[in-house]
Order: sequence, then C-alpha cells, then structure tokens
Amino acid sequence: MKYLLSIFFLLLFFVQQAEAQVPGYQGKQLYVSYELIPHFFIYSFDKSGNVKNPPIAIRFSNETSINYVINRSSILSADISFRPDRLSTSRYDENTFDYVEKFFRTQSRIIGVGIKHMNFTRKGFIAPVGNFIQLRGFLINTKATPYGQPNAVTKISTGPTQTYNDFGITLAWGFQTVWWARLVPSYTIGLSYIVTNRNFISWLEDDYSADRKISNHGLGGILPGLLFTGKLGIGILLF
Amino acid sequence: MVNYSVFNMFSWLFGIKTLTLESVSNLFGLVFVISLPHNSFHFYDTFYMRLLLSVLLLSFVCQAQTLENYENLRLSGDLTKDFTTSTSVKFERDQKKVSKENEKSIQKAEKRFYEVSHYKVGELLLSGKVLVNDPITNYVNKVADELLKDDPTLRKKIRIYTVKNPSVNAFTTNDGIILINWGLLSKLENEAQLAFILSHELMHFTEEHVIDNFIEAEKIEQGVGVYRRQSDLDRFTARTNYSKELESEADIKGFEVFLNSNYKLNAAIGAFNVLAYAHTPFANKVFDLSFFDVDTNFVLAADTLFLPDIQEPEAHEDEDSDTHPALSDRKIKMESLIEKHDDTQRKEYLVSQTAFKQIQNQARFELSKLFLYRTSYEYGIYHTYLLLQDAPNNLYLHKNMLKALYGIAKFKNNMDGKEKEEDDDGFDFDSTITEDDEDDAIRGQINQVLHLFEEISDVEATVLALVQAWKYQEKYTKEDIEVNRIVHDLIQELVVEHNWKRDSFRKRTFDKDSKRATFDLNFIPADKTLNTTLSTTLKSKSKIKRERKELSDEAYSDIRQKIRKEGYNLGIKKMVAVSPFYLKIDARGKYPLDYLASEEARIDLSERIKENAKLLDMNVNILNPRQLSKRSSDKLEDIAFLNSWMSERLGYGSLDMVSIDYSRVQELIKKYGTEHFYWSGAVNLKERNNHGLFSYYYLACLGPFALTILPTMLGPNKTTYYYSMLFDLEEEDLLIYDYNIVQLKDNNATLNSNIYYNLLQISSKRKKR
Repeated sequence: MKYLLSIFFLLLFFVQQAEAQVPGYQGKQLYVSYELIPHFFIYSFDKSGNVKNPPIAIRFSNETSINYVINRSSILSADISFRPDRLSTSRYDENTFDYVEKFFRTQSRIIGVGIKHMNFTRKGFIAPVGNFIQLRGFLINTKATPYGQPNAVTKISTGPTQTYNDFGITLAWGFQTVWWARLVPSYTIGLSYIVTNRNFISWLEDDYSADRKISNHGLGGILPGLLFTGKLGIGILLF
Repeated sequence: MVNYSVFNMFSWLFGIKTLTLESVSNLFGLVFVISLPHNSFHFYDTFYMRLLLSVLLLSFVCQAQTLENYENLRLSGDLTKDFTTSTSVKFERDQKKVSKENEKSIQKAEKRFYEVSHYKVGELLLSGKVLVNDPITNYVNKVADELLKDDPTLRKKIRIYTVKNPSVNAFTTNDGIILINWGLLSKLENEAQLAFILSHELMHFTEEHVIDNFIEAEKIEQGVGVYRRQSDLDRFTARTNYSKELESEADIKGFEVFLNSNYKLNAAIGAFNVLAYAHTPFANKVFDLSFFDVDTNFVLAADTLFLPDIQEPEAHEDEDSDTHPALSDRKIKMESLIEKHDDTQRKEYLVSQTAFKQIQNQARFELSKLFLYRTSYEYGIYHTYLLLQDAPNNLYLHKNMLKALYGIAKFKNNMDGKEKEEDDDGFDFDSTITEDDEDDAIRGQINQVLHLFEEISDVEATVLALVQAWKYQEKYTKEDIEVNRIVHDLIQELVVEHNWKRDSFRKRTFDKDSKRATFDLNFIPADKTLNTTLSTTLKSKSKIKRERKELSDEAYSDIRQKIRKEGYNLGIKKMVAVSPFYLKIDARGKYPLDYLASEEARIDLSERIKENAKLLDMNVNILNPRQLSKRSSDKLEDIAFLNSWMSERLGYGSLDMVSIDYSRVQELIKKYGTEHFYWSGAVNLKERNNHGLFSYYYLACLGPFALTILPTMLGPNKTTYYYSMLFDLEEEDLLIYDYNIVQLKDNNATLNSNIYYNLLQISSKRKKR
C-alpha cells in the first residue's frame, strides 16, 4: 500500500499546479473507491479439480482506489487489488505416454495508476460526474507456488515459490456520478493488455511445449494476453 | 433623506411603499384617527369632521400623483393570491373540473389547458408588467364595481389588473382575471367605452369561452366527431369561425350587462372605433417641423428631411382576423341592439370624469417610457411629442424624448447590418403599433417622425441627440447622472465613430449643397466639464475603439478556451441572484413542456444556488418571483425592473449604451449593497434516442457488462443546459456569460456540479504561482 500511496502523491505533486480552479464535487476533490470485479467462467472446476456442473460461474475480486480530481475534466487514480488464483495444468509426457497434471496457487498484487478523462467529445461533464475514458498502466507482482496432484487443495507446496512481474495497460470506459453529495457510484468496462505476455506456467517449468493445456479454476485474471474486465464501484468523497 | 431601515419598518406597519404625498396624507389620516381622545368625538365633531374630510380629500387627490415631477408607477401594497399561489396549487384545484364525459384525449387536453394557462398567466403576473394597488388599476376596478353593482357575486369572482403594454388590447383568463393594457386605456375616449370593454371581457369568463375555445380547437385538431373527415383548410376555417362566434356572443351578452348599467350605450360603437384605429397613436396632431430647433441652434432642413404632405390614417375595420369578426360587422350588430333603447339619459361617466382623464394621462406618461424599453424610439418620440403639447415643461417627458433620440443615434452609429431587437413579451396582439406595415400612409402624422429618422444620417442623429441633451442640462439641471452619461457617450460617438477632432465641435453645416442641418456645437469646448470630457475622449480614442470592436469568432473562441482553463477569478463574494430559471422539456410527447415540473424546479434551483454559495462563503441574496409572500410587492418590483434591465442590455448586444433607468439601477445597488447581479438557469431536454442497430450489436459484444449500459441505451437522450450571466450594474458590464451543455440528466449531481463550478469562477481569486 505504501508504494501505491507514494506513487500517487508523487504524481499528484506534478499535476497539482495544472489548473487554477478545480471544482471537484462541491469543492471535494479526493475520494476513495471500492470496486467489485466480476469474473465469468464458462468452464470451471471445484476444489477437488473436478469440472463443476453447471460449469458456468461468477467469482469476484475487489479493488481499492484513491482518486483525485486534478482539473475540470481529469481525475488521477491509483488502485490496488489482490488476486489469489488456482491453476491446473496438464502436459503430455512423451516418455510416459500420459498426461502429467500439476497445480499452482498464485497470489498477485496489482498496482495501477491512471487518468480518467471526462469531457471528451465535449459532453460538458465536470469531474467527477459523467462518462470518462481511462488510460491506466498496471504492474502485476505474482507469487506462484506449485502443488502436486492431488494436493492442489491441501496447501502443501511441492516446490519453491517463484515471483515474477508483468506490466500492462488498460483502456477503459465508464460512468460515475455522486449521490447525496458524498457517495460516488461507478461502473467501468475495459480492455487490458498484458504487455510482457508471459506464459508463466511454461516459464516456471522451463518448458514451452505447444500442447500444454492450462485450466483456471480461480479468477482467471492472470493469464497472459488480452483481458476484458468490468467493475462496479462505490466511492466516498472525502475532502 | 429618509433613513431606509426605519422607513422599511414604518412602511410595513402602515402598508406604505413609497413616500409620496398620498402616503403621507394617508398616514396623517390614520394617525389622526387613532389619536382622537376617547369620547372626544361628539364634542368636537364638526371641527374634527371637517379636518378628517379634508385629510381624506387630500388623500384622494394625491392618489393620482402629480404629473409635473412624474415617477413611474411601481408595484405596491399586498400582492393578491393570483400572484402568490403556485401553478401546481391552481392546477390541482382546476383539474377536478375536467369533464369525464369527453374522450380521454380531450380530457388530457383539458388538463393540459389548465396547466399551461395557469403557468402562462402566472408568468405574466410575476413579470412585473402587471401592477396592483396603483391608481390606474384601482380606477378600472371602480368602473367594474359600478358595472356589476347589481351582481356582487360575479364581482367577487373577477379580478381586474392593468398591464404595462402599449398594445390596444384586453383579455380574460379562464379563472376570472381580466387584464387591460395601458395602450387601450391611453386611447379610449371615455369611461363608458371602458365599461363596455369590461362587459365584453366579463362574458368570456361567465360563458367559459377560454376553455371552450381551447377544447374545440383540440377536437378540430384531433378530428373528433364532425371534424373527423375534414381537410386541413376546413379545420382551420372551423377553428377561426368558432373563435369568431365566441367573440360575437361576448359582444351580444356583454351588451346585456352594459345595458343594465347607466352607461351611454353608444360608447360601444366608440369602443369599436378605438379598436379600428388601434394601429395609430392616441392623437394625430401635426408634427411641428421646428420642434427640435427650439433653443438649440440645430436646424433641420424641412425640404429634405420632412414629408411635404401626410395622408390621414385609415381605420382597420373591414379586415377579418383569425379570431375576431370584422369590426364593421360588429358595429352593425351593435347598432341594431342600441337603437332599441333610449340612450339620451345615460352617461359617459359614472365614477369620475376627472379620474378617467387623470389615469389616461398617467397611462400615456407610462407609455412614453415603455416605448424606450421596446426600442420603438420613433413611436416614443411622436407619443412624447403629443404629451408635450399639453405639458411643455415636463421634465420626465423631455428626458424620455432625449433618451429616444440617444437610442436612435446609437443604433444608427453602430448599425453594421445589425437591427435593433424589438421587445417581445410573448403575447400575440391583434392591434399593435408596428413598423412592419408597408403602407405608411395609413398611420397619419407619425409618418413625419418616421420619415425624419429614416432619412437622418447617423452623425446628424448623434448631433441632434447631443444638442437636445445640452439643452436639457442648460434648462433643467446639470446634476442628472443619466443625462451626463448620455452626453459623455455622445461625445465619444462623434470622436470615435465619426473621427471628429476638436475643431469639428463648432458651427457648421452638414451638407453645404442641400443644407440638411445646421448646428452650433461651440458649447462643448466652451463648457468646462464638457471640454474635459472631450479632451479625455480625444486622448483615449484608440483605446475606446479597441474596446468597442466586436470580437471575431476566432478571438471569442480563444477567450473562451482561456477562460475554461484559467477561470474567471473575479473574487466576488456578494451578489444578488435574480429569477433563477428552469425549463423541463420532454420532446417525445405531444406536450413537450412540463410547466408544473419547471415551476418546481425553479424553486429547487434557488435552494441549490443558496447551498452551493454557502459552501463557497458567498453572500447570495435570491430574488425568486415564485417564492414571494403577499407583502413582497417591492421585491417583485425589483425583480421586474432587473429582468427588464437585463433584457435591455442583452437587446443592445455589443452596443454599449447608457441604460434607460440608470438612476433606478443606482437605487438597487444601494438597496442590496452590491453591484453584482446574477442570472442563471437550466433547461433539461429529453429526446428519443436514435441509436442505430449497430450500437446494439456493439453492446452485445460487451457480454454481461452490457447490462450496465443498456438502461442508458434504451432510455431517452438526456441533455442539461446550464447558463449563467453576471452583471456589474454600476459599470453596466457583463462580467460573465457562461454556459455548459451536459449530456446527462438534470439530477442532483449534474446541477450541483455546474452551479458550484460557476460560483467558484465568480468567488475565487487566482492563486499566485
């Protein structure tokens, strides 16, 4: 959290003098938000590793952000979220003519910093009320611990915990308003691209076989590539 | 000098709003009565009775104020319930009257009628154009008392007000308000004609013509019953015929009421004759071509600037209007009714001939200034000229004349393709003096004035106005702040717009060959104060020219962008917010304007301005006509004047003109303790959304997240337009004109954001970097 706040206030220092008159919402420029991120699964597993019936599932992760209105149209934001995940992999072993399955438990910390810009296409919005587009950069710090089959659920690791970092960018679109001069409800829909595009399972096992199958019965947010996410949030205007 | 706070308390106690002779004598009478010693009345009754009567007589005489030092009439006394009851309360009361026998669409239309009529009448009453407790209105009510002395029940239902409007017209509302324009009163020939007009209007109320006409028009438009298969032309004809039938019925039934009084019946014909000449001034006297020459050395050449002969005005008798039968037909019908009765013993005056003449003169005096507000300067000049024939030294009239000349000079100097905007109060009158008539000959002697100011050049008009202003100062006073400002401005016009140098201000002729005008402006360098004004103007000519130059669109856009980024930073902490405005429009329905919601929203907007001002430590006094009590006539008067002043400023556009009533402006600055006055408003618009099929396709691609956007896509398009203007009344400058168009619903967040941001611009000062 301290890194988040440090980065946020550092950025704030540079943008603070940007405009003479920043209205915020009735003078309040700072608000903190709690956002719920739904994750949808068409094919999910239970704790024992069996396919669920029905397989469709929705799980939620959450995100906390701190937001500061820097001028009439823009809001500087910094967010942090934690995502635990469970992944199972299976690999065909040419030696044993069988599939080898392994499980990983991951714990990711995602820190993002971004700008929400309102008043694009001259919609007349005055931050923080209205539609916005958000450009956000984020850093994912993941710790991955392997578990042997069938102990995926027992939390006894079968190997060392590895740490790796990725970064990505998000382009999102959303809407927020203010209720009762204090609450800031919002929704955001965006596309995130993990720039480093790491296939971490392969990296962990130092094996880049093409026929690796990876199933996610956690939150699914850590897979490399393009991610489509949405958030529903509620914030509180502080001062 | 009167101590204002003491006077406030005093005036509230005794219901006196202005310290005039009338109020003093009323007060004297009241004090006298309450100071009588107990049981003393019998002993001294002859003496005291004479004293009491003389006080009351003095009071009555003073009610019709002296016209020598004329001051315009103002709202005074208690406001009636017509002013203070909200549209929603009136609507709730009346919608119970909706007839269930009609079709649903007609019932809906009837409800809509009540909503619109109460709102519009409310707007008119609260515009300040309708006075209460003034001598003119009081007199008209006395005539109505006389007319209906045998029907007190009906008399109680009727409320009569007079309207500050130069049009020759009167009208009635569905719930019994009769409104008589001052233009009509200025032209009637006697009290009996007024009584006949009132009889006619009364019938519109008793026979419920107003709503009848509306419902019939709805039935015609919707094609209900017999109108089902009619063409558009047939429907139009049906509508106009119905309206005319109602007018005829009002004439005939009104005559029966008129007959019951002792008024001269022939006055009805006289009233129609007045209407036939509604498009002309109240008299048709020859305009003295040397009028402007007197005491001024400014001589206008008669052969070039005046018409050699003028045709007499013609009556508009035979033309049908859309709503009224031709006057000639109405006269014939009326004559056939009159001839059945003996008219010889009847009278033209039953209340008072003196009072009639007095209030008529007063109405004409008022119109002299009204024409200025409407920028109908030429009409104002001729009208004032007529009044000056009977009151040649009247200060008020001379000042209005001067202001009209000043107005003409300013507009001529700054035409550049710009036309002055006529005032439009939203009412459609049948008989209005307009400049649009192509055939000038029908208007009579006024054509002389119209022609003169059509022909006169801009510099000639400026010199004429300047010379008249100087004459006023020499003859009456040099201390008049309004006239001083006008003189100052006219000197600037000559220097800046016409490149006059110092030696131009001398004796000269404009055009050597035709000798259109000769004048002598030596008085300017000869007068110490005027010479200083001239010197200052000559020195700062370039600066004035730059300030006057109208901004190009690009320059204006640059300034707006800069302001958007940096803000206005005015540092103003005290101001008056006048008439916060609100309109709610739903363009999807048959009746787009939601008047009830709009009225409620205006009150809500006032509260929001207060709330947001408090957050910024601003002292904001809100003047909302929809939040007045019965004792707030002075506030309504202030609101009316301020709105009128603001319209005047906006009407001038970029033209920098001294306002018509600058001294009144100074009065208000002193009363409210600030020169900053603020107008703001919002319009919320809902329209059908026009998202194409592709939008829904893209929406589907969002998957479950589409649920968050779907309500917005399916619902109407919502736009909120918020605007604000801040004026400095002392300098008569527009400090802020700002607006924001937000593609959002007008909920709390949207409104508060805009109001707070706007007030922040006004109250904050730029931080030093």
